[in-house]
Amino acid sequence: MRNILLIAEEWLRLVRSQKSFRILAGLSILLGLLLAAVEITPEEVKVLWSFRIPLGGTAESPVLANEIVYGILSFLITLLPLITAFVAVFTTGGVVPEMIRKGRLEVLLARPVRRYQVVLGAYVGGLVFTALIAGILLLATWVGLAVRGRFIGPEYFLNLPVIVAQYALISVITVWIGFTLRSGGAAIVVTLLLWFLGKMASGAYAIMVASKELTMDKELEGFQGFLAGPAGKVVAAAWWILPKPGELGVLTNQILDACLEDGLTRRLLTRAKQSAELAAATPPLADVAFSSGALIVFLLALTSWSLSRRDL
Amino acid sequence: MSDSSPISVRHLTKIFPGQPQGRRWPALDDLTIDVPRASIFGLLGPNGAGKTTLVKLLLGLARPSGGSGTLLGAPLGAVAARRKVGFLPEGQSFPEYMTARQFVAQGAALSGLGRREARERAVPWIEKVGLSGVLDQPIRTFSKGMKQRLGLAAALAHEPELLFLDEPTDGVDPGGRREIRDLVVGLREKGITVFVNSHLLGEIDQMCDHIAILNLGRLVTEGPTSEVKTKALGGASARDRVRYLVSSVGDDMRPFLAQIPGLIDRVDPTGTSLEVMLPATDNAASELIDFLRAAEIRLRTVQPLEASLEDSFIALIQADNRQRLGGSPQ
Ligand SMILES: Nc1ncnc2c1ncn2[C@@H]1O[C@H](COP(=O)(O)OP(=O)(O)OP(=O)(O)O)[C@@H](O)[C@H]1O
Ligand SMILES: [Mg+2]
Repeated sequence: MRNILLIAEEWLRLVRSQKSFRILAGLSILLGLLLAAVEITPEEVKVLWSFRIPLGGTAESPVLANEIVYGILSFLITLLPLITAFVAVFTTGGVVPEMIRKGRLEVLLARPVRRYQVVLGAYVGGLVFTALIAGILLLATWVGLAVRGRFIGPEYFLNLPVIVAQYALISVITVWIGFTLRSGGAAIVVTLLLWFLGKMASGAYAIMVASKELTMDKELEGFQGFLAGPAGKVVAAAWWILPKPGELGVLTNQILDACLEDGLTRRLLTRAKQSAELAAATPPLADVAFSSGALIVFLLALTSWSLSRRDL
Repeated sequence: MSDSSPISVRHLTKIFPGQPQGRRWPALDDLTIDVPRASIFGLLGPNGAGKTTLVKLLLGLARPSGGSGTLLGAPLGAVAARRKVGFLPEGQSFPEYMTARQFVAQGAALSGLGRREARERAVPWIEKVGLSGVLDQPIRTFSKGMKQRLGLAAALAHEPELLFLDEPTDGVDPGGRREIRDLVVGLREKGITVFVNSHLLGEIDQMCDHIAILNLGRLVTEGPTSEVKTKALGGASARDRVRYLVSSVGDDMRPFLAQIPGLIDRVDPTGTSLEVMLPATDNAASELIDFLRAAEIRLRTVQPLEASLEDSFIALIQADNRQRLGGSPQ
């Protein structure tokens, strides 16, 4: 365990020394400042102190203002985590090959270090990095909103584990390819490819699952029929095997619901309906957790095993 | 004997799956050696002889194709035995973004020291290799020789019992080479066993008390340095033969070479300057001078030379190549 942390620490130093880390942290703080600069009331949007955009609402009918606040919050809560995980893959993709380049791995392994510890060290380093960058982002935006009096519940910070879990699922592929092919470019490309395939499998699987409980659009019925055949088995198998960080979106939605304020009740009515539909079309979280956990364990074991069989 | 040897291998063989084309012999072939405790053991051999391969097998970085061995009493590949081992690899690449202090401390911690202890021990070792001025500089600002010194500090900070050095003075300036040599000799006095791979025969000659010569994956000879040097010269003791460097004032001595009384061997690079080997008799030098003067050679100098490790090394490798490759050049 200690060795894993020592290697993760080296990994973090490497990431931190890269420009992208500083850029990411800078952008997060900038976003926080932007949020702090804007105040939204039913009547107007106030930028800094003097610049005002009238919205024409009143305290009784704050429709437009609510839409804007809802837009900002759903951007922060549903889209930002995905963007963060995506950027983290790009930032960390090159790190494994850098860390295990010829002449470095030999020195690590000539010490009483087991090969799986190097693999886990690199993996854990990535998770800590993502937690760090997501933490900065969440804190900056939370403070930014609070500055103008729009307090969001502490549920907002539940996004942190969700972001890290999404990244954990994606980055296991980056680590696997990084160790196997020793190429950062290949690691990023394969990760994005499998992510994309996983997303397609998720979409098709959602339609399959939903077909049992929800009446769907007419045009989807043909597709449902198709999925009832052997193609459905392929989709289901792909869904179980591939990484599907998007499925954790259910959690994100619950967090968003928890964060929305009373003032947004009108918006909430439609949201409640959307959420119900979404929940019905979503495979059980337990299945997602199980298959994702299995994928992570399997790929880490495979990477460690193939590394331990290799002559350096 | 083999029980107390820090390194002991029996019939160790390594065949890499992807060996370069045209190479028919194993990278390491049926090697059996014991390295005495608290010795400085030099492993010599031409490029590709298998020196680095042996170190990798000993450290568990590659797996043997055959044979067995022990490292500090534990079978090859055992993780715990490596706590007491230091390693300075050839062509090491460094985490450039770390500072000297962080790097050495991390290494010591990975070798089993507590974090605080690792940080404390790092500093004196960095100072010892002459890098005290750059303790907190990132490694990316270091020159090649500075990196080599840093690698040495990192190999030593956890105070190993057994140290592997693969080309330790590569890229280091002459002053630094001497410092490193003195440091290594100092380690032996503390009871540490040092295993050195090097091409620099002069350095090995000065430093090592035991040497082994490897060629084409096989052990050519092995033993205390003085014995190996002697063995190379046809089994006779170095004391039985003397080498002279003879130079003339512009006269070509080659036509007379074959008639030099008692001549054993010769090296004649130019003709006006040559090396001859003669029996170590009391009047060998005066006979040589008499002969050359009789041939009307105007002599400039006649200077006795000591048999060097280089002579022995080249003689042994050439003989081995003749035997194994049928005289064809490698
Ligand atoms: N990973 C590998 N895969 C295939 N062949 C290898 C590998 N490592 C070494 N070899 C081969 O094994 C032989 C011995 O190589 P080794 O590196 O041990 O030589 P060396 O004595 O250290 O040479 P040098 O003096 O150049 O450092 C060489 O022919 C080399 O090509
Ligand atoms: Mg070598």
